[in-house]
Amino acid sequence: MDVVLRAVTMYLVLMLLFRLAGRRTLAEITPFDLILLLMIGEATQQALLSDDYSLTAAILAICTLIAVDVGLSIIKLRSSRVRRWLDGTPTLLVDHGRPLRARLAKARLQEDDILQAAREGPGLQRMEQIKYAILEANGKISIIPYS
Amino acid sequence: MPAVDHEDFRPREHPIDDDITFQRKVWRMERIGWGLLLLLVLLTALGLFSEGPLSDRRAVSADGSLEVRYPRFLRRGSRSSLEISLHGLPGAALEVVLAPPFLTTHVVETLQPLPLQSSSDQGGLKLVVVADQAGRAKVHFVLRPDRAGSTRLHIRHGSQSLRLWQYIYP
Repeated sequence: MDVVLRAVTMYLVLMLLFRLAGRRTLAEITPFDLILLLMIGEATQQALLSDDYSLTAAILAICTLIAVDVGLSIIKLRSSRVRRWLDGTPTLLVDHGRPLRARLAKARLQEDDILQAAREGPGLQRMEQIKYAILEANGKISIIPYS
Repeated sequence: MPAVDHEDFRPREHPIDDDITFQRKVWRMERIGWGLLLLLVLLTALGLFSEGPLSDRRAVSADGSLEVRYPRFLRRGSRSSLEISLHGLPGAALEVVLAPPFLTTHVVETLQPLPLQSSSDQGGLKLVVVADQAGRAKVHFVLRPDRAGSTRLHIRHGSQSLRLWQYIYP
């Protein structure tokens, strides 16, 4: 029972914390992001298994996590409201070459981040070449150039 | 500036249906969440989850012969300390009893100094230690709580008794 409670609690707590941290957290793969991810993994592992070295506990924890994951994905299919809150929605950041500064500020982004995505994606150099820039639910910035 | 803001937050349908009202709600929740996170970190630093001024406590019996230093907040599976000071006649054998649920709640990892005698007393732990020339004896435990929830430390020395509240986080 303990294992199940720990696994479910950690899953929900991590989900809540990552939603709080915002979409851009862990979307960029800087070396620091990798280290942060590792540290979170380590702390989580301690919580899940603690000093229980049995095979059973490990299997049960993994089963519980997958069960919760599948359960939530089914709920998300049935309810678009739950999906919006759990996954987030995309947000337009640049409209016809004009950055929407108030939105950028709220999303804690700078124009440099958009320009970087523009260079990495379609290889654009200036803001004026960007038709639309969208912050996706998963934190990536999609660039739609003028065709 | 306000006019530009208002224009920036106008909902768009092309190229995506972007539900900006919902997104602004999410951003607001994020900010409230950060405030709570910061509060949590501060409370932790102050000792709400053990080790700190909010947690460390000292209790003394009415006649001063029994003094206990203990943490009010502990975490299950994490080490915590308990210090019991006894006062009696120099060189005397002093007795202290840690009544139930002490033994079922905590795992005793270390106990210094080793007592003269250690036995069970109605489900509790009875220790006999020798007082020094000043009549003082101190027992230092390192404990590992094995259960979560609210609990009481019930410690007796002669006619003196202390009931101390503790909370063990899961």
